[in-house]
Amino acid sequence: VDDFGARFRDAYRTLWCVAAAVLGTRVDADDVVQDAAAVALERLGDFDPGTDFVAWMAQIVRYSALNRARLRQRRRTTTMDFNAASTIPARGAQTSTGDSPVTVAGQIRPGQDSFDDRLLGALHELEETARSCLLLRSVLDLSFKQIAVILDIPEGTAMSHVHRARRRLRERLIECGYHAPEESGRAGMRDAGGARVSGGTA
Amino acid sequence: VTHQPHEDVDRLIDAYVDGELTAAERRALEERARGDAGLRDRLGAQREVDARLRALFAPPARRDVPMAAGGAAGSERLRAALVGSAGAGEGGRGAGWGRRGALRLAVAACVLLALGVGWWWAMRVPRTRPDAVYARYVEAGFKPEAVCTTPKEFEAYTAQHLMQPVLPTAASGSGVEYVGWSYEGGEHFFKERTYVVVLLARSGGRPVLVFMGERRGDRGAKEGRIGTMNVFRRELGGAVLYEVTESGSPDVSRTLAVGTPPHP
Repeated sequence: VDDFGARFRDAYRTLWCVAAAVLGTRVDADDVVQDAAAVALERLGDFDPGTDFVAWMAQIVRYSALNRARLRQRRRTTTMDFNAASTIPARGAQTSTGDSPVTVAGQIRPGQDSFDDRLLGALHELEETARSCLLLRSVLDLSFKQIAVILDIPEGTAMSHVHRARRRLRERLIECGYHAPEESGRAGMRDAGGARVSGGTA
Repeated sequence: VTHQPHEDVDRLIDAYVDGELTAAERRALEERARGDAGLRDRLGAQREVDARLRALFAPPARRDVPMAAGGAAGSERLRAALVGSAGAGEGGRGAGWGRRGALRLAVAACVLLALGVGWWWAMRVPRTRPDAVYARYVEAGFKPEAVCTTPKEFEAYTAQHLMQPVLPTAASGSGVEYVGWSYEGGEHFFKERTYVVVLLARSGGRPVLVFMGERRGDRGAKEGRIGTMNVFRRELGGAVLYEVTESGSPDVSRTLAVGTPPHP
């Protein structure tokens, strides 16, 4: 018990991410981790000190999150269809609000909400383990080896999940009309080699 | 076998967003994307996806561990464990004071440690400190990695990297000259995994760096003198600009304005 607090704090962000991945949303992730911590304390005797604490906790978080998701499903009176969210405007397309998801005042455009809806919808289509692998990699920047230990899966499987999940998400977004601007950042730049442009533009 | 080339490109895109490519490999892929609309879309979509996932699923800090009001079973034990006191197993006033004492001791130790680390930090000039970064740029010849040839390119470039188009407004003869772009050395001003670009410029012939990053990654660094350099901060729409200059005024960043999103 003495050691639990410190270990729990160290693992908190990872556990939160696992909870959010299983739930598919950040809503309730805090509560799930809290519930899991209480369960873990009750079952501390089951923990084998020779094994990975985060992996053990992650398993409890996963079960807690699945229970929470089932409860939420039961309580829901109408089904939420993420795919019914309005199609994201193509980045290159002319829209009433402009092309960038951010307004010139720095505020998120309405289209950004749609983009996020579409992204979350595509994320929900992924299998729960794939979602966990993807979030642990993309959000926490964990190595595939770390992900494999935490989720108790082979390293190659973690790698494969991340790779396929990323491809799936970007394909879905492209199917929905996403286009990168033609002058796409560095791709739109030419190598300078120290050259300076007359007229004062970098 | 037939989709092997696609598979390779997908791996490359993964490595690109994970920051596992060398600068040369990155440039090669970006150059390739320039002439390949499909690849450009995939690369752009992946960057967008990763950026939004990080924004939508950013976990709270470790210290923000929530304690359920009313408490689930074991919540008291959890609370005790999180306080971390060795003698916290039993409840009661005595144990409570023990916990508070240990907590005070821990806080005092943290303060002392922070002071020590702060002193050590102040005594050294880290490579990420703006004056050190500036010196490296100047020593390396102040050469950019990329340039824009028109204000429109400049706007498109900043819109892509910062999600915020920025318009250069310096007139010729104003003494301000935009040299080009680079990408290194913004750690002092912006958090990791934030898209940061560095505008290399000259004001009155003297080199000036303007670090530009997304507002969400801003560390909120203070303005003022750092070593031999002056730092000026400016918010521009969704971007934050830090100008590192020998001058006593932000000559370059004041010539930058909020631009309009690029249209096809």
